[in-house]
Order: sequence, then structure tokens, then C-alpha cells
Amino acid sequence: MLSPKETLILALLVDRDDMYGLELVSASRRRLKRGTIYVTLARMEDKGYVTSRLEDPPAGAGGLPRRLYRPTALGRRVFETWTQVARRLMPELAR
Amino acid sequence: MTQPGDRLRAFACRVCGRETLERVIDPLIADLQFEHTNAVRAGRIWHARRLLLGGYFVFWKALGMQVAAASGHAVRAWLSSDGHALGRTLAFSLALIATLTALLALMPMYAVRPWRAPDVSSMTLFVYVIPQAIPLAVIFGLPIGILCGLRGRHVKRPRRGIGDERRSRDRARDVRRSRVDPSRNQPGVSAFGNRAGVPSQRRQRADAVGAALALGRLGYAGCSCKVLLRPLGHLVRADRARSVCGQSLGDQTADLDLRSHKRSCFGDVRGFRLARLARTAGESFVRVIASMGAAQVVARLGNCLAPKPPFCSDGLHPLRLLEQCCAAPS
Repeated sequence: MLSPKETLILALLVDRDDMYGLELVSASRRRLKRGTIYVTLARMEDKGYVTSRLEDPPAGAGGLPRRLYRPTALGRRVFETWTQVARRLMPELAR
Repeated sequence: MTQPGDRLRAFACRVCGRETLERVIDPLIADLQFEHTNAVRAGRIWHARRLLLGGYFVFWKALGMQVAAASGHAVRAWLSSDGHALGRTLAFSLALIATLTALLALMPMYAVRPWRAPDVSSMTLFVYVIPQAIPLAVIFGLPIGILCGLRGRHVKRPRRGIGDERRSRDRARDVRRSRVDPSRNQPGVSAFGNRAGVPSQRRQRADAVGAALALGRLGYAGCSCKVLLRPLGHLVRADRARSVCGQSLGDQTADLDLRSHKRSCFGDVRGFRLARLARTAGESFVRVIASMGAAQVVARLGNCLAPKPPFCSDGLHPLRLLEQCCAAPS
């Protein structure tokens, strides 16, 4: 149901709420790559696990606004359930 | 003033869809610009250049992944259309062409043995013969491959009436409901569970098994899908499995081309109906216990081309069942 990358992203987002893609990459300690993070996030958005919004455009710089991601209620539920199932099926993970 | 990555974005605008641009390309370029601006403001010029190069590499990598994914979906949908007729034709044709080429190349090589022509090496002869063998192999292999691949298949999808389609949709919805939450689906229960002559013990078993297996994924591939019908009981013969699955599905067998194999029945869905239903159901796997505790229908519909939030519009999500399983004592 959840791939390892999706689980990791949801774990980080549930822990810290609003995060940028780049923050997710740095917080994952190189387990997430910059080239694939947004593809995975887009897929998770399709599934309804995360939602995103554009931050305000940077003042004076004229660059593109960055996108902030946050888990949805469904995403939290899926993550919690998935963690529980993983613990039940593989008790060594819970230790 | 031009920002770093603006040209890349302009290029991406031409090749990507709006959704990909907004959700994959724009965040990448925004990150690139953000990091570059910060590095320049801090006076770290070389670091800024390194970030720029890294950002360009990441951009092309992401674009390549998107193109590969989109191409894969398109090719899969194309090959699986019309009951995999195209894919099968292609496979048969290629296999036949390869076999014929090998045969046509080996025959002269066998005839011209080293003791007859010692100055001609096998490799030279092989390279010389192959270009002559290929056209002949194509001439014979392609038509035979097409004949084998399209055997008994309608290349053009037959038209069906609106009434047929509605009936089939209703039946499939009932099956799905009765599978996902049997207690909330009265039409499904009355259609499948409460048939005359079905012992209540069997009904209970069907419910129990149904509740235990409602977890997984359901996707779809373009316009066709595979349905696997597997009787629950052991030691069921193939013809018996087929008849039981046929009875269980009722009118839906009109959409299925059932084939028996060992103790299971495999069915290719002809047409778009179930695939369309799967699209509305989103990305979830639904295993359907159809009736009488005798048949398990696993609707497995390939890959998602346009995944939607994974909730069935008219049923419970498998997640709810998973939660119930977790809550239940082990």
C-alpha cells in the first residue's frame, strides 16, 4: 500500500507538518533524492496522502514560489495504520 | 532579469503537461533559484555555480523520469488494447522472425562446412548470410505472427447497448459493494448472497472470507483488464471452477472470456466497462467474493494512468478494513 519512500515522506511530514521538498531531502539523510522527491510527492498528492500549496513569492528576488507540503488526514491515517500493520507483521520493527 | 532555470522551464513548458509542470518542474526550479540566490548573496560564487550544475542535472533526471513513465504507460495501453491483441501479434511476429532468421542463416552455414571452403570463416559467413535471411524471415514471419496473434479476436471493439452497459455497471458495483462491506449492500446481498437454495452456512463462510480478503490494490491499464476467478475450495476441477465462476458472475459473464486453467478460471474483459468502473473506484485493489462462498473474483486492472484519491465512491475503502483487522485481537 505504501512504498518505502512514501512511508519515509509521510513519517517526516507527520513529524514536522509543513515542509519543502528540499527540506524533506535534507531531513531524510540522503535516502530521498532531489530528482525523484517531487515525482513521489506528486504521486502521493494524486492518492490524497499529502496536499501542497505555494508559498508567497520571494520578495524582490523574482524567482518562482516554492511549494509547501503537508499530510492530509487520510495520509496520517494511512501512515498510522501502515505502521501498526508493519509492527504486527514484523515485530522486530517495533523494537 | 533572467533567473537561473528560466530557459529550462521554458523548454519544459513545451514538452510537459500543465500538471507535471506545476507539481514537478516548478518546485525543482524554485529550489534551484532559492539555493542559487542564497549562495550568491552569501558571496559563495563557486558554490552557487556548483548548485546550478547540480540543479540542471536534477532537472534533466526528473524530466527523463517523467518522459519514461509517460511513454511506458502509452506503450502498455497500446499493447494491451483489444485484449492484448497488438502485444501478442508483435510478440508472435518477432519470435517467428527471429526463429526463421536463425534457421535461414544456419542452413547455408551447415552446407558450407570448413572442409568444403576452408578459407571462409563461420563468422564471415554468418554476417554475410544474415542480411539476406532477414527479409525472407519478415515476409513469412509477419503474416503468420499476425494470424497467430489475432486469432479469434475482434480488432474493432463491438458496440454494446446502453441498457447492457448500465446493467453491467450496476452488477459490478453491487459485487464491489458486497465485497467491501457486505452488510451495507442490500442489492449485492440479494443478488449474490440470498440466492434460493444456498445454505446459510455457506453464506456465512462467504462473508467471513470476504471480510478477510478485502485488501490490496486495484489499477487499470487503458481499456482492458484481467479478471482472475478462483474457486475457494480445494480439489475443484477446472470445468467445475468455470461453471461456478460463471454462475457467480451471472450476467457479467457476457463481458468475460473465461478460460480454465488448472483449478482457476482466467478471464479477459472485453471492452471498457470494468476498466471505466475501476477508474471511478480509484487506486485500490478489490477482491470480490461473488457468491455462495464458492468463487473468488479478483479484479486486477493493471497500472493507473490517472490515479485518483483511493476511495471508492460508493463503498468502503480497504483501509477501513485494514484498520478493523488491526483493531481485532490477533
